[in-house]
Amino acid sequence: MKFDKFIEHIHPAKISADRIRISSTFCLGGAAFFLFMTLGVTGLLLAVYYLPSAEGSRAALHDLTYVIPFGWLIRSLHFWAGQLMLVALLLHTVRVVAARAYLPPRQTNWLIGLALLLTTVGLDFSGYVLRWDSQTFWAAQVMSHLLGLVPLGGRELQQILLGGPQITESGLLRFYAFHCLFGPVLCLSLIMYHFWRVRRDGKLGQSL
Amino acid sequence: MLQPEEIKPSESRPGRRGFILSLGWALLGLAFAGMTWMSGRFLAGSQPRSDPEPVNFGPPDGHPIGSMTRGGRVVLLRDDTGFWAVNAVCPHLGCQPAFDENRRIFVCPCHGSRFDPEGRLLAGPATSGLSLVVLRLDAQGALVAHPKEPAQTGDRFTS
Repeated sequence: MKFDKFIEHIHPAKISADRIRISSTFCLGGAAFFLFMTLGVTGLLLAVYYLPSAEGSRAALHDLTYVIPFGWLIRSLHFWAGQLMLVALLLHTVRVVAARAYLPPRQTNWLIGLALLLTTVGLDFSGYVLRWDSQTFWAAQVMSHLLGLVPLGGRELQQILLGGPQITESGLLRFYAFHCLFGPVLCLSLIMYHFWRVRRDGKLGQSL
Repeated sequence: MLQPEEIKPSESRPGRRGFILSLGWALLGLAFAGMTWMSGRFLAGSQPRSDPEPVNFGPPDGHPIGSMTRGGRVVLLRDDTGFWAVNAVCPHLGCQPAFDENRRIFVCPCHGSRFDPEGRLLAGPATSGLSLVVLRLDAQGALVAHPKEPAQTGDRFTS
């Protein structure tokens, strides 16, 4: 079957039979990727209704929850897939550490994986800010304040993230741009490279 | 003792594994079709109702001088000079300020912005006042607020 061929080819060219068992990796990275695709599809749907402004986001959230058919479902799927993706990635990281797979020859892919974890945290947080109610407004406020405290370049980073010293609607637009454009594109590019490195570096599911 | 040939899957029940696999694919297809249908319904949407609709406050006589009546996001007020209606949506983050009848001010529950009874800003974090909306009588003689039409400060509806 075509699907079996796909499973074969995404694995390293040489792999021992016991390493291909589900219990050698628990397919945690695969689970995270599945959730990423779910987030992509539900996110595309949500993007049709969301407007990145104070009044627009309030109206969109109201309409999604109460007016648009299955809006509540699409939004819940997006929310829970986001939370679960982070859980899957954290478990994936724990398994990789336990297998000491960060050691050569897989050290590059370990770093790519860490970058993916950070990007996902960024996507999670920026998505939370898009709700733009008093809770998430203050979360963004606190987070940007913390960023401003980072020595060497913290202030500049804050400026880049918020478009000003204070968080305003233009800050919301930046969170929106990151959540819908920069973040996903960065994530997808890193994922493709990550998968290719899994196949090229070999030793899948193998402890050192 | 059983010979190897005897415990091989017999010809009488071929492809049980194949059947279960097909069933799995069929269920997956069904789930996919369901999701596609729901996504279609989602995208087709329905007329979003976040657009503010006119608010009917009933006959003007039902509102004594000094009264305050909330109708959705519009608040109707009356003093001895007449009626006016405030669109109680905080310009800060879109929360709904409540009218405190003792202090006679609007207070936003989210960040504490305060406004006078005519919507003028008293204290931030909001940077502008609440908007006023036009009041008109409908054919049945009921007082109707039109949130899409802004009114000027000081405008009064008198019956």
